[in-house]
Amino acid sequence: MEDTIQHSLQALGFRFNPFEHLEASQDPHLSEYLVGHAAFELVSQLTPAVVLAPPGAGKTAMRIYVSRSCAATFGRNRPLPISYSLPEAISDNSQVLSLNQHKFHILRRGTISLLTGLAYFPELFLELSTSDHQNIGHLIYSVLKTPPADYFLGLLSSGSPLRLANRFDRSYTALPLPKPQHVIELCNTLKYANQNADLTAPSLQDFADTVQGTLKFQKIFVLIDGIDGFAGSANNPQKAAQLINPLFEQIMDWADQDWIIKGFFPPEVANFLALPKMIQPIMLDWTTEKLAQMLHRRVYTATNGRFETLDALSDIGLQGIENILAQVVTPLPREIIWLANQLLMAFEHRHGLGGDTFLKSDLDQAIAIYHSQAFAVRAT
Amino acid sequence: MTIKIPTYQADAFRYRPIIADIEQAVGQIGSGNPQPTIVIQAERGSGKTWLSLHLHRVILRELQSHPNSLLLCLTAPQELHAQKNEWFLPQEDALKLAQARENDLIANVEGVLEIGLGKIAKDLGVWQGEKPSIGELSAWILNKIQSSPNERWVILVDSVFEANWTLLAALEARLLGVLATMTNVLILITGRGKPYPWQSPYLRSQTRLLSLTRFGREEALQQIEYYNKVKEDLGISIVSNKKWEKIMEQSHGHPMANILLAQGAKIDDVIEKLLEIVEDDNDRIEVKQYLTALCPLDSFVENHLATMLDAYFPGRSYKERGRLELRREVLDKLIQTNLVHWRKGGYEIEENLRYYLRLSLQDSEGDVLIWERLCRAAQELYKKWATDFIDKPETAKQFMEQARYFVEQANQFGRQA
Repeated sequence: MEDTIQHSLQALGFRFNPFEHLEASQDPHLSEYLVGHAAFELVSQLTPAVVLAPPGAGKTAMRIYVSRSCAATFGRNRPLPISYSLPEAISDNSQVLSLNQHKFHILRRGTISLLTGLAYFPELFLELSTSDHQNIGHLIYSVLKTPPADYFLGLLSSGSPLRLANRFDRSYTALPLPKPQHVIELCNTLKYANQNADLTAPSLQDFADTVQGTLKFQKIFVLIDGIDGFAGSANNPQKAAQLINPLFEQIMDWADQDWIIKGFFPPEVANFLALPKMIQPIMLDWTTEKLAQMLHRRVYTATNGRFETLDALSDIGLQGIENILAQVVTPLPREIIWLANQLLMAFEHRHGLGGDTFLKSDLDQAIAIYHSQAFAVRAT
Repeated sequence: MTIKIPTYQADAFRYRPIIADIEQAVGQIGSGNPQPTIVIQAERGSGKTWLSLHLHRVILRELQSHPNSLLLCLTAPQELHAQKNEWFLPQEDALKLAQARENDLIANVEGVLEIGLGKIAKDLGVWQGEKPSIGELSAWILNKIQSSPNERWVILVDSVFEANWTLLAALEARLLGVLATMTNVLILITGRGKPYPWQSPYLRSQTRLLSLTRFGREEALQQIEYYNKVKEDLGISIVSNKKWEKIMEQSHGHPMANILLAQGAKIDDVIEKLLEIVEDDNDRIEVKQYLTALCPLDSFVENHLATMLDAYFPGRSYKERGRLELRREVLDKLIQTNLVHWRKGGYEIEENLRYYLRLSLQDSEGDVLIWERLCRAAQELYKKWATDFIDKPETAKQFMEQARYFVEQANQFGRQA
C-alpha cells in the first residue's frame, strides 16, 4: 500500500509520504519537520530535565531532536549526546540495574557516540596531537570490548560512517559525509594508537576528561528513553522507576560534573521517580492547534514548500483539513499522523479510479476507520 | 538610453528603518546566549540584496563595536565582484544546480560550496595545504570564528529562500547550523518566497522576523533625486520632475519599480523586470499570461484556474482539461518561480507584482477589456459556488461578497472601456 501511496503523492507534488512513520526513530525526515513546541527549548537547556508524556506524544521525537542538534555541532563547544535506551541495557533476566551497570552502559554508549561523531568529523581528530590520538584510541579500545573496537572500526573501513551510525547511533545519520580517506586515516590512527596500550577499563571521569579536555565538549547529555519499553516495566511504573532511580539519585551530583541527565518517560512513572525538587518535570501537552501545525509542517516539508495544507489539493468547500483531523483525534502526534495516513490511503484508493482531489468522502472514510481502530493505534 | 536596474552603490543606498533593529541586535552579540537569527523576507526588488551589501560594506564597519562580517549571496548581485569576506554564488553555478539530476546534485552542491568556503577561508587567512576537503574548509572557518569569542561576527546570507534546498542543507550542515549556536555570532538571512525548513532550531524556530518596509514618499523622492544627479555618469535618463509624483504613486514604495519608472519605464517594463527571474523566454511569456489571468484574485485555489484561464484565452478551453493536467501545466510552473505562494487558504501572487499586473490591465485602453472579462468570469464562478454551498450559509455569504466585488469591478472598468 505504501508504494502506491508514494506514487499517488508524487503526482500531487510530494517528495515522500510525511505520515508514513509512526515511530519517530524510524523517520529519516524527522528533524525537518519538528514543530517549535515550547518544551523543545526547555529540554535543550544545559540542565537536567525530565519530560513526561504518554506513548505517542513525541518523547522519542524530542529525544532524537535534542540528540541530533548536539550531533550537528559535534566538537564545537556544545554537548556530546549519549542516547541511552534502557531496553538495550536490560539484557539479563534480573531486570534490575545498579548504578555501576548504568555507568557501564552510559560509558559504552558514550564511546560509540564519540566514535561515530569523530567518523563524521575526522578533521577534528586528525588535527589533534599524537598523545591525544593515543588517549582517544585507548579509550575506544578499552571500552568497546563486546563486540570489540575492531568490529566498530571495521564498519568504517569503506570510508563512510553511515553503516556505523545506522547500526548504533542514528543521531548522526543526517549529517554530511566526510572525505572517505579521512575516515580511513582516522581508523588507521586509532588502530595504531591502540598498539601496546594498557587496556585498563576507564572511568566516566576518564571519558569526561577526554571529551571535555581534549575535544572541548561543553557538557555531556545523557538522553534516557525506553523506560517502559520491555516486559517487566511496560505496565508497571513503579518497576520502571526502580530501574532508573539509582541514576536519578545522582542526577544533581552528575550535573555538577557536567553530566546532564535528561529522561523521557511516561507520566505514570513520575510518582515513583527519585527526582530532586528543583527539577520540574516538563509535560508534553498537545493542543489541536499544535497538532494541526505539525501536519502543516510535514506537508510543507514533503512538498518542498509548494503548500502547507492538504486544502491546496481539496475540493472547493473542503477547507481546514488539518484542523478537522486535529479535532477528531485524542491529542497525540502519533494518532493524528495515523489518521492523516488513513486519509492518504482513502484518497489513494479513489485516486486509482481517477481522483485527483481530496473529497469530503475521503475525510469521512478516514475518520470512520480511526474511530473503529483508535484503540489499535494507541497500542502501536 | 536603456532602462536598467542600477547596480549597488553605497551612495545610492537609502536608509531603511530596519537598520536600527539590526544595529541593536548586533549590540547584543556576546551577551552569553546565541542570538536569534534575523530573518528578512521580502519580495523581489524590495532592496534585500542592497541592504545585505550595505550592512556588510558600510554600516557594520562604522559601528563602534566593530563586528566582523561575512556576506554570502546565493544569487550574485548584478555587475559586482565579491570583495574580501564575501562570496557570490555565480549565476552559472546556480543554473547548474537547478538543472542537475538528482544523483549528481549532492556532488555539484559540494563542489560549489567548496569554492565558496575556499574563498572565505582564504579571506580569513585560515587556508592551509593544497587541496583541502570541504570538511576541512568548514572546520577552519568555524575554528577561526569560535577561537575568538570576544570578537563579534555577523553572518549575512542573502537570497536564501529562492536558493536550491540541497545547497541550503549543505550550507546548514557545513556552516550555519554550527554558527547559529555560537554566542559571538549573529546570523541574518534574507530571501523571498518559501522559507527553508532548517533542521537547527536556532535557524528555524528561535528566530526574529524583521520587515523591510516600503519606501515612504521621502525615500522614494530621495532615490529619484539621487539618480537624477548622477544620470549622466550612469548613462541613464530620468523623466521630468513634473512626473515624479505620479511615478511615486505608481511605484507603491517599491524601490526597484520606483527607479525603473523614473527612467521612463512603463508598468509593463516593471513587470518584465520582476519576471526576469524566469530564465527561459517562452516560460516567461507563459508565466506572465497565467499571472495576468489570475491577478484579479487576491488569493486563488486550483478550482479557479480553468475559469480564469478560459476568460484570459478565449480560444482555449481549460475547463476540459483534468485537474492534474492543469496543476502540472499551470500551477507547478507558477510555484517554481517563487512568485506565487500558499498563504492562509489559497495561493497568492507576490503583492507588488499583483499590483502592477492589475495596474497594467486597468490603465491600458486595450487591456481594460481583459480586466473586465476576468472580473466577470470571477463573478460568475463565485456566484455558482454561492449557489452550490447554499446549505453552508457562512461560506455562501463569503462567495456572494466576492461575486459582488467582481461585478463592481467589471462594471466600473467596463464603463471606462
